[in-house]
Amino acid sequence: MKSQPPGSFASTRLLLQRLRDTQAYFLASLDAEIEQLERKVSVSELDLVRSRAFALAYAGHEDLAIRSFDVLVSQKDGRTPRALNKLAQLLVRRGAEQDLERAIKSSKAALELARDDDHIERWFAHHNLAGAYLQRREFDDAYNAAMRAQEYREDPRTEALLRLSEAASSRDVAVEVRAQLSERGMISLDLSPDADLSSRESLIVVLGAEPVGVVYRPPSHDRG
Amino acid sequence: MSAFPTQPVARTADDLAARLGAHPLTLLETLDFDPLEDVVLASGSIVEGFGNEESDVDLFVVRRHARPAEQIRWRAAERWVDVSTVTQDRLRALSNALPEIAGGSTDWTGLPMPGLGDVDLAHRLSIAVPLTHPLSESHPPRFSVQRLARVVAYQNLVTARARWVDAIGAWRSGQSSQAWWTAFLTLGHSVDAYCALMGETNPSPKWRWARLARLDKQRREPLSLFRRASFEQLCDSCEQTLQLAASTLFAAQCIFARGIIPEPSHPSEPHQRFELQGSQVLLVIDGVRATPVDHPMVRP
Repeated sequence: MKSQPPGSFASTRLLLQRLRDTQAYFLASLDAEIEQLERKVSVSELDLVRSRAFALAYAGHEDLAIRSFDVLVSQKDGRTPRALNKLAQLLVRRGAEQDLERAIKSSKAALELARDDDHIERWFAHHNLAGAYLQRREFDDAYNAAMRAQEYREDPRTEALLRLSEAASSRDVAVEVRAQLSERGMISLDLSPDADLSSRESLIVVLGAEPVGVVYRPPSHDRG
Repeated sequence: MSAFPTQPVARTADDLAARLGAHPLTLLETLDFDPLEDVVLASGSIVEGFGNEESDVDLFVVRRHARPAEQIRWRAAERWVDVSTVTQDRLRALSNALPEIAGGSTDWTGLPMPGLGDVDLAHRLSIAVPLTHPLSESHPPRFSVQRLARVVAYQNLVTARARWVDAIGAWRSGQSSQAWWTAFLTLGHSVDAYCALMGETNPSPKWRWARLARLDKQRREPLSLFRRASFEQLCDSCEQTLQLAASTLFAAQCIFARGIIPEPSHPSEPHQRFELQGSQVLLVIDGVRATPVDHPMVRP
């Protein structure tokens, strides 16, 4: 992804396009959740928790979504790589110290459970790990995690995380990274003025951490 | 007792959901816990099958570090919920605090025992329904119900013996009301010991009738002995109460040490009782003096 000057026409347009794509993805995912729930002949309590968790996440209610995901992954049947990764993503976005620790644990659990050929979930777990390590200023670990993520999926957002980690490492913490929750429940990475990458671009990086273009159907939660 | 509609102990979250009209997973959504590490357990009278419309739910969160207790409102079930932390260290210590009391033991005084708080907590955890299944299964509570039952029984037997001495002292001094009351306490502790040995390990006296009601429903109690533990008969006379207390205490001792109900269960005099001591049956007179007697329990 080529950097654009912050606040420029091109960068703003790119941001808006990415926001639109992301919201469209979330809307499609919500529709899929509703459809799946209505199709079920027998709905268990865990099904309902799962639906609430994903729907709240798609709708941007991150605190409530995290509560539902906590319940979901606390159950053997609910602890899928998909649910663990989604929880980790939300925790990375919220970005408190405890959240990041839990995000790392959740991502590692997802990697334990994910099949070897489940590249999407393996990418998602390593990508979340990179984001968590980056915010904890553990830049080497962030870099390594982003490198692992790239092995499973070529993704511009992971590539941006990789560059952020690399830049931070090589400049001996010249880049200040911290999580900021926006009013819309989204995350940006706040960079110091001398950073190469604009905060706008970084917002897109983490905001779009879903593998856009792959609309998850609820049955895939169970498959991971 | 038939007016006490008890239920069995709930075993699963679904059991609890049926009992409460709301699934415990909705309760977890209001709770702050680590889903991959913490064990969340539901306990209390509703889980135990003794609860009523006003009963709250006890939640125990087994986690690494202590946190202050809190009370939360579970709207879906319209219940209050008391949330307590049990640290993993505390759980280990609790498990170690419950001694193994040998099957034939008739040492009614000398064994070191855990405090009532520990026993109560061990009971609550032993019946608790796990609501979460963390990645590490290394620290869910593991209590031997049989061990707990014998500890609860033993503690009640020790107390019952002491109250018997009080009762006889009061009776011989002409303090009939005090004698009746302490004999009644003797009876209560003996009944509690019996219930524990039948698997009803809740150590709280407030649930005595509930425990008896459930044992009655399961037909697991010798009804001829324990149905007499009704207030109507107890109020008849101090002597009757003393004899009933004596027989119940001896019966509980015999079940504890030998697993059988004795016959006869009490001597003819109201101020005397039988006691099992090693391989002998003793006649305890006036609370303290004891002599071996010929009793069917000791015959081959």
